[in-house]
Amino acid sequence: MIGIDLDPELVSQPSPGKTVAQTVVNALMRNGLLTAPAGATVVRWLPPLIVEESDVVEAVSILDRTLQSFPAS
Amino acid sequence: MNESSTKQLFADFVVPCYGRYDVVLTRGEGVRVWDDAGHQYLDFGAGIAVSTLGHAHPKMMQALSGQASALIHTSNLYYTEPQGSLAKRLVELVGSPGKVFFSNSGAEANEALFKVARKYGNDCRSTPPEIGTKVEILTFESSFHGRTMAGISATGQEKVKIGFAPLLSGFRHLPFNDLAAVEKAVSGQTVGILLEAFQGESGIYPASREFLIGLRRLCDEHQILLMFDEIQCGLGRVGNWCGWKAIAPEVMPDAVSWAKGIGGGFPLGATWLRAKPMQKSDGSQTQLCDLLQPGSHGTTYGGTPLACAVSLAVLQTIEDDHLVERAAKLGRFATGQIKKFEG
Repeated sequence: MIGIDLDPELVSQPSPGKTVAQTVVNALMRNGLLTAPAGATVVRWLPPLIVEESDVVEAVSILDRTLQSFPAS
Repeated sequence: MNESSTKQLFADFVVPCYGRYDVVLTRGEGVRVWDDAGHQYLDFGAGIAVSTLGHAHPKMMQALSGQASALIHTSNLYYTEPQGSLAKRLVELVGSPGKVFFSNSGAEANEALFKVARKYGNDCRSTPPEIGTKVEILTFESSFHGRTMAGISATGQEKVKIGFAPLLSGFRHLPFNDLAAVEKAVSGQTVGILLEAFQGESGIYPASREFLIGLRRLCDEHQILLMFDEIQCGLGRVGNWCGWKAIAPEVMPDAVSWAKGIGGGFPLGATWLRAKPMQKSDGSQTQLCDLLQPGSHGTTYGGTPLACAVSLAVLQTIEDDHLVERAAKLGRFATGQIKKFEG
């Protein structure tokens, strides 16, 4: 169980009615990674316990790509 | 059925109490799931910490189909072997003598904690005029303990309570990791303290080692039950079979609730109660795990042979494949990778 605490300013324009966490979880999903929000600014990673190191590497790469897609505000 | 018609069914016929992401999932295998357009996803949500063995794990499928063809459900009017075996396994996993009550969800697993704490307050801490007064349970801000009326009353987040007044009385929320606040709040009415060793629903907040040790000491001093909600953080999720042992292995609680990962996706809740000796107000001797006598609590589905056989297979696979150790190792690896994005 890992929580990724996001900078509340990361998303300059969150989707209407959505928190920063929900907006990022949605963007991660569009890039092929399912995660879950925890509160307004935290994205939770709760992978199955059978996860392999290569899956983690892939998830980190999707996270990297997704975070970079948000222009700095 | 295409995506738009599935969503239309939800719009027309499903109570809209969930904020759903815009995708229709159709199948899964291992750590991956697919949507109805054939897109593949890496599933790092696992159905909110539930799909311990991922999707369509052969050991789980084998247990499901094998037990389903033998005996799915009997009610608790009868004995069934898988329930007894799973109870033994869970007691061994906690590492202290006790007994287990089975239910179907985390909310129900916590409900058993609330009821046993009240029973303890009323049967062991009260004389007749006091019945119903010594029942207070302390919980913590930012906690999450389920969506039933008792669950939202216990949960230390205002957002889950809005619109549902009157809530159940007897709960107080204190700042997490603040032992002085707990010391101050404990009174003659307090019978239980409930917490998640790792709060995981409004951010991820681990308890401090000093906090857990201090709570155990306070509970011993004031004859209060120390109860751990292990629904999300238990059974390997934080790299330890018992979430609290990742922080303070020497602390032994009086009661524990599990759900989520315990069934790998098959609904199951369980509540462990310690074999803690106690005296009832009438002078008779008992122990915490025997307070709930026939007729005092129950659920029709709780601990069905099917649910328990599946859970036994899930726990055995976690052990055989060293998945708790793997969770600890990969958790450290992932955290290291993610920290690169800091700042």
